[in-house]
Amino acid sequence: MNDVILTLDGVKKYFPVRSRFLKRRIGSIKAVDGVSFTISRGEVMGLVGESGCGKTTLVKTIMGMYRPDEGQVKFKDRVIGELSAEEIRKLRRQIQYVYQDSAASLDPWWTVGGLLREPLAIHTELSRSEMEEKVLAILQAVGMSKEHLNCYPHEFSGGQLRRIGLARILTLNPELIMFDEPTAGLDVSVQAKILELLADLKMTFNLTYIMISHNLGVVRMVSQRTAVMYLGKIVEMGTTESIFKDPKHPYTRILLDSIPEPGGKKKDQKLLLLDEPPSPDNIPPGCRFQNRCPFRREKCEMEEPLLVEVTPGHLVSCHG
Amino acid sequence: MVVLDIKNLTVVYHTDQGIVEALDGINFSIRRGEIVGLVGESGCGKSTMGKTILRVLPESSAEVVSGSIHFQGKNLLELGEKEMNDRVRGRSITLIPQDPFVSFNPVFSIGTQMLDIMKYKLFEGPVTRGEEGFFRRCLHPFSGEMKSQVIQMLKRVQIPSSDQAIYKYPHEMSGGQRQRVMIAMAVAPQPSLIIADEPTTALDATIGAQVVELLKDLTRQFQTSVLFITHDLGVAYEICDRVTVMYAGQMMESAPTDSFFMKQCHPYTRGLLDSLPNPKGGIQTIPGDIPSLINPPGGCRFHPRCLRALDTCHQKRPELAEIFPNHFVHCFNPYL
Repeated sequence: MNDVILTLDGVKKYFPVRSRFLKRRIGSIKAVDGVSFTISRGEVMGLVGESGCGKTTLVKTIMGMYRPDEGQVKFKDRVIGELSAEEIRKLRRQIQYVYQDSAASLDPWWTVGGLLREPLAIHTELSRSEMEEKVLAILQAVGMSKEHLNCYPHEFSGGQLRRIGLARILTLNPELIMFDEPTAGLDVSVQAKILELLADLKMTFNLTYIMISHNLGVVRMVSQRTAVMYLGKIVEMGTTESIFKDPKHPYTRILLDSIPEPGGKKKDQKLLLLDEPPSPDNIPPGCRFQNRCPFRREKCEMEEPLLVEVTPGHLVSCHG
Repeated sequence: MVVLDIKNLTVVYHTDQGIVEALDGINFSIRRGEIVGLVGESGCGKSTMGKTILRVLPESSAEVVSGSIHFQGKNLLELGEKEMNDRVRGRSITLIPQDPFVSFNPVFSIGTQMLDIMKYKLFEGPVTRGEEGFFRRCLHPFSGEMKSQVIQMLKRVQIPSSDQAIYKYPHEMSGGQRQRVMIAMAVAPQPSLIIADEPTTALDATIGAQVVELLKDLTRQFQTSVLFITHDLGVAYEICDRVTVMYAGQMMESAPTDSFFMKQCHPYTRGLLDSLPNPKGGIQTIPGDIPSLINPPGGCRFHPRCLRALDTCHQKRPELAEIFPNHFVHCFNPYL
């Protein structure tokens, strides 16, 4: 379990905001603003947060698509930010990204067979028949059959497309997978099937993955650890159990409260967020959550809280 | 008082592959001030229902085979196109669309677009284009009273600094704000019925919760009825007074919210609720897939996937049965 494969150390990624005419840098959007964590082999980490909080930028930085402005991303013992483009391309075999919208990420002119063979053709030197064998095995692993090989993406339903997207990633046996909202936009009954499949695959292939989602129910089911992101920073991180049982940060509590759950709390007892998130190019000083926090105090406006360990393995950044 | 009463509604689409039976014998009604949730998976006919009520189905392929939609005493299916436009659409029945971004015109400011609603739908009769030329419209979009009314509308849906917001373009607003402007526009004519077609799907959970609260408050205030189309049972639980579940074009269960979630009588309802991720870690899936509506299974359309199917389910369609007060189920073998 303690075989660490990914280490993030104070990763920052800023995007410049430029003036209209001279294109001078007049500010920056702090998409990821100092994120540190580690992931061990076989671990599933859930990453939760609203749209625009920097989840996707963080994941792209891990994949080497962006270079961090500060801090470093270490995959096993290699620092990703220092690799050449060629090396990163090779590394991509081990770090894979599953897109949110699988319908849009599969080429409509290619058959499923072709789509599944492509990663093998790029990254491996298997013979034609070995490839065929592998493709079939993977297709069966995700619960589809041989007849589907010659079909085109438009012939499938949303749930099946997700399966194909998964199969495509799994052909290469990656060591780390990033799932971007694997169940967004699916019906609950289909979502349940995909989650079941993910749990199965996790067992058979001993996958390590980061699961981005804003569906907390999903995160709770699949991940062992959960990190909550708000405006580029992790505000709370810990084992999934402790986060859901005993959320410390007000933002996490509100997030948990805002999941509409049949049979759950009704509105009157719920915490609601006060405002909308501030723009990431103009983050207020002090705690970045202050304008929406129902428990704000004076200290929050002055000082930015640090991420501190409150109970073993449970980190929170809040003054309260 | 019943605002909308749908009886035995059957709608089909004619396609190259055959006839798609999108709605099959739907009966339901909405009372004044009631929020009715229409829940179901993709392709079960929820949106067709909304479109049929507003009579905006594609004319080339869709056909209403039978049934009636009585709205405030009149059968909407028999109204002329002109009367529909002048009195019903956008006046007494309004729509909150799923994706607020594509529903706004990107080249006009929010204020101008809200003003259009007021001009065409709130004041006397529709204004013809001749009197209000394009250039005039662009040059002098706002005048005294109307402007203050638009600002008032935006204030009502809690848009920050609403007197500035009227000059903003849709892309300058966040998704939650856009959806709130949509709600403002839907509520403005004080309609009797609002059809909300998955209004929270495109939003984050936290923002979605805010929008749902707002919609609830406003409709309570004006005693507006809402047909709330959603695939999220959780959202339905939050906002609705009554929940109706559809499956493959047929109605399965319809009950007051509390009774619905407490008793979960229909096997499909139970299947749906069990497939939500729950904290205990257990998740149960419904076997099989949604059937094609071109050749749907006979009898109850859910029987091939149902765990409690009887022999009769294959042959006969279950009638509507009231198993608890006000709790209706289409099933021969419900959980009791």
